Amino acid sequence: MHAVLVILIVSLIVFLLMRLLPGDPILMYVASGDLQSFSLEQIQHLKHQLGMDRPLFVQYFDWLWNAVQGNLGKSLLHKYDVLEEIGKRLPITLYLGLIAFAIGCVIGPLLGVISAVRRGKWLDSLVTVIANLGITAPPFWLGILLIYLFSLYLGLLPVYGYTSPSVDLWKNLQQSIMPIFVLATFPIASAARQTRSSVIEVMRQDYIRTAWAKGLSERVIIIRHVLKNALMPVVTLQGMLLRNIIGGSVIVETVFVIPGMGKLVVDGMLSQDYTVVQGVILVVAVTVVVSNLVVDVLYGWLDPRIQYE
Amino acid sequence: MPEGTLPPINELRRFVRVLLSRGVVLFGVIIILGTLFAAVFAPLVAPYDPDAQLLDDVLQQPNRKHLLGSDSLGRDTLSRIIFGTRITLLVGVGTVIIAASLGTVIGLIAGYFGGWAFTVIMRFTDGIMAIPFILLALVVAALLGTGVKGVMIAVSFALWPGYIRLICGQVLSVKENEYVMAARSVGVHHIGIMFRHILPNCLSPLIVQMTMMMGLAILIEASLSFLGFGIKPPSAAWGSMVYDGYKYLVMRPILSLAPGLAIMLVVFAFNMVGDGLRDALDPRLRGTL
Repeated sequence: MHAVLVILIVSLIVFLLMRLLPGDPILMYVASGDLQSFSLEQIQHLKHQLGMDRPLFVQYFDWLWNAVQGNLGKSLLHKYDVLEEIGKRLPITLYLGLIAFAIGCVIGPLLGVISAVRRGKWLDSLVTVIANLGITAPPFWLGILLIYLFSLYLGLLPVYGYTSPSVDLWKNLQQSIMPIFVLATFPIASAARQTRSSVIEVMRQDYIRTAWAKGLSERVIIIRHVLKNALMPVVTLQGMLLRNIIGGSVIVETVFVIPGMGKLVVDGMLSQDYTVVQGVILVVAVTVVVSNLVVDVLYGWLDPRIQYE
Repeated sequence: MPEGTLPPINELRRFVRVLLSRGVVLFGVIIILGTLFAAVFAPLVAPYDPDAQLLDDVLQQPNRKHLLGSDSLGRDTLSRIIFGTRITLLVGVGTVIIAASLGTVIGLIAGYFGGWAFTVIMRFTDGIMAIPFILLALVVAALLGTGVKGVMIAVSFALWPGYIRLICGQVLSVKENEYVMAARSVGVHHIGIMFRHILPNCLSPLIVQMTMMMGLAILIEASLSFLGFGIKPPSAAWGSMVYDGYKYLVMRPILSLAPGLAIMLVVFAFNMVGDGLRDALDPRLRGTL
């Protein structure tokens, strides 16, 4: 119920923002044909046809009702079906994003634990510095740096583009390495930082001292006693990172020219193709709300003290 | 020394000592002060006018005349980076102030009054937070047009829900304290309680959040400028400099890499100082550090 309410609120925010944007969508529609040949009457007629002469709230409910039925309208500029286009692009974004997320989920906490256990040693300092740099590096800059180093200078990887793995797996891998690296940098770095600090916090607890006193091995203490309690905040963070997959794709897909959701929304904004942007943001928000639910369920599983009605 | 007469601890000195005890935080403070200096004295520090197009010096390699080279219009990269600190700091500090003050007031109201005010505000916040920062900022920036003011509002709009959540959570726990009840019972007005008694007790997490968010705000502004929705040329904004330089990556990589490095350095500085502030303001660590 809560989730449905949030989605409704998002749809309203998105709809209103898009309607407030400067530029008349109808002019975009006409300009893509031939502006000269349209008379004022014809424009009025077109407005009527597209339902843009109706009151705003009627338009909103109409859009919402269609969206619920799986119809996000047609692109004003290119006339393709928005949902169909999203269907083509979402898998690309998720493919890159989920691989990067998975890498972040494994390597980040691993680095964090190593760093916490070896606190104060050179390994800890190294991990901390890398993690701090990782959370600050602007993704577009990191992408450009990689392109310069590996594509232009060393000539090892293609500069940009995307090939489906089902068409040419080798080419796909070559083209995906850099985008995935850029997408994974923030998840790895932030998870490492979070894990490190929460592991250090848990290691101060009395029950860990008890575990040491019982003579348990370091491995058992870390895995059985520390990790289970230290991972809660890390899971919260990962939930946030999961939600950010599509947000993160905006920059990376622009730098590497990948035809995914992020590129779709940037192109839509640049050409003022509002139905596209509106549709993409709605789909993104729905995925975010759904992943919130997943994280909540995970919580209950990790910490039985948390109960949901 | 007899008990009860321990020398008083100078809180400010303790705070500064703890804050600056970690080298990396000190480094952050120095970078921020340096940036501030460059922003204030840009015309004196910069070797050239950032907008001057020296047509004899187009796309120069870094040399003695142009330490970081020059761009396709013959503008000196170093001077543009130095003048860029103005936009960076203005956006970083400005957005955080806008977002934090709005978010704090709304969060106070939601947390203090509870009930349906809480429900409405928090659902609205959930709604905004379901849209990724960058998309939200992109749409609002397009709405307001490019320029420093538009970008500042756009970035604040993306960031303020975070403050609502933070303050609301703090208020919910602070308002259970007995001194709040005491203030109520002697007839202090709601507004008085909110701002005089509750707000001061929410300040430390707020300050930490604000410092951290300055880095984030600068990153979002740079990303917007990079995508072409932020601050448009000829203004010297680091994000758009990276984008402009990208076209000449093969010939002059420094055009793109140098302003990017500047962004990274400043964001890093704010994050580290935020980390340091969190440690220094954390009452649980008082005495151990």
